Amino acid sequence: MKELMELLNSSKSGTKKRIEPYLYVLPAVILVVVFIVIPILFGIRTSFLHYKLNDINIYFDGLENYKNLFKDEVFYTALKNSLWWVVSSLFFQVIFGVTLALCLNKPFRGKGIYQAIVLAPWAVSGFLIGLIWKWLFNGQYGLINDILMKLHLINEPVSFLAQEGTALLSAVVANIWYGIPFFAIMTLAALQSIPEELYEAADIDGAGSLKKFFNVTLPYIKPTLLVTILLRVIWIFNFADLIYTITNGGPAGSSEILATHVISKAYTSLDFGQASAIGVIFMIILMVYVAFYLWFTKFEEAGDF
Amino acid sequence: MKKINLLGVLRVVLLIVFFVFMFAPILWMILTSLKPVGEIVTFPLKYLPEKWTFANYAKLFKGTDFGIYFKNSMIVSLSCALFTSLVAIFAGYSLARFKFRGKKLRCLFFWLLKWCQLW
Repeated sequence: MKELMELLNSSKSGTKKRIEPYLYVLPAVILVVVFIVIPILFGIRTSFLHYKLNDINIYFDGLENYKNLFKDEVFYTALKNSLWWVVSSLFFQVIFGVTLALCLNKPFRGKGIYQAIVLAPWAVSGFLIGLIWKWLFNGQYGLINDILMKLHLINEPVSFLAQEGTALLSAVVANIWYGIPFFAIMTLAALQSIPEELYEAADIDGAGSLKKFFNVTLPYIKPTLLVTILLRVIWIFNFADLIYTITNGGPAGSSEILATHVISKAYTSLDFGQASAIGVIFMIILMVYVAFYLWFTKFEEAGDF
Repeated sequence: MKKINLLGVLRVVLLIVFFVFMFAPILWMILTSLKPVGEIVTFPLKYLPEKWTFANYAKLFKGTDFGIYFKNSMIVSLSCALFTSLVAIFAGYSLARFKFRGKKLRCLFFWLLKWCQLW
């Protein structure tokens, strides 16, 4: 095989050989530049413009958009909610997802069907999930109200989505539900790559189940968990579908996260300049996060790239 | 020996709890789709439809342009998957196979973009 490669390479002229690797990457680079880099640059430019759809004048406005943004109270609520939304959703997604994966790691009868049903939410669109949960949380005909009343935890139906305290919480519950399969699938794949011999060796050494979990299982799934969590934080941070469909940021902007705030600024207030300014801040937050995370976990050791 | 049994029981309980929690919303959606409109908005709730009906599905296929929506979904997802894999295969091959200047930088570039974009 190696000789063949050398033969192929030697038959090519020098320049052709040199540009070949670049040629293969070229389509991907063009795509990325056209569809990601240019829009980002355009968005950054827009963030410095006075750009309202209901105003015919478009002009450079300096830092006005950013100044207005930092005066906007909903922006701070959105910032705070974003943090809360990411941390609480992620925490329970990881805990439940890993638990589910551990439960699924041993074969049992009907495992195939069980997996197909339990992991199904992973493949459903965010908007559909949002609609299902909006209906479940419905203040009058919602199943959740019905169950809570049957359990005598509440006396009369609660309108979860219309109260400031519970609106975001409802969306978080939906998001946890949506994220469990993802973590379960990723963890399960990692669990199945653990060599059986390690457990046998641990058995011989007389390790208990708890010890086996912390000394064999956890180190093995750690790299997967780190990468998955990195991915997931960004994904949840960007994930506007659920909140957009379930509460639409309401009541009175109390369940707005940054991702939905961009949408409402752009399509409700029709203020594209402000929306872009939020987008830029959004991007900066994520970049800082990624840089920090990479540094913190020494990603190059954990993953292969 | 006893400890293993305890874990086994815990596992079964957890599997059942997960099943109920994960499947209930989807089951509720399916059940709601089979109820006539009048039964959907009653209180106290009826869990099972009293009168099972496929009228909602009939309305979906007859009353809306379901075919068009479905066709559009197919076009978007299939062409997207095909095209991106095609482009990614070449880029991945090149990044994995050859050593060239700026390779590491380019890897990082792709990687950061992937992670920073709005999904």
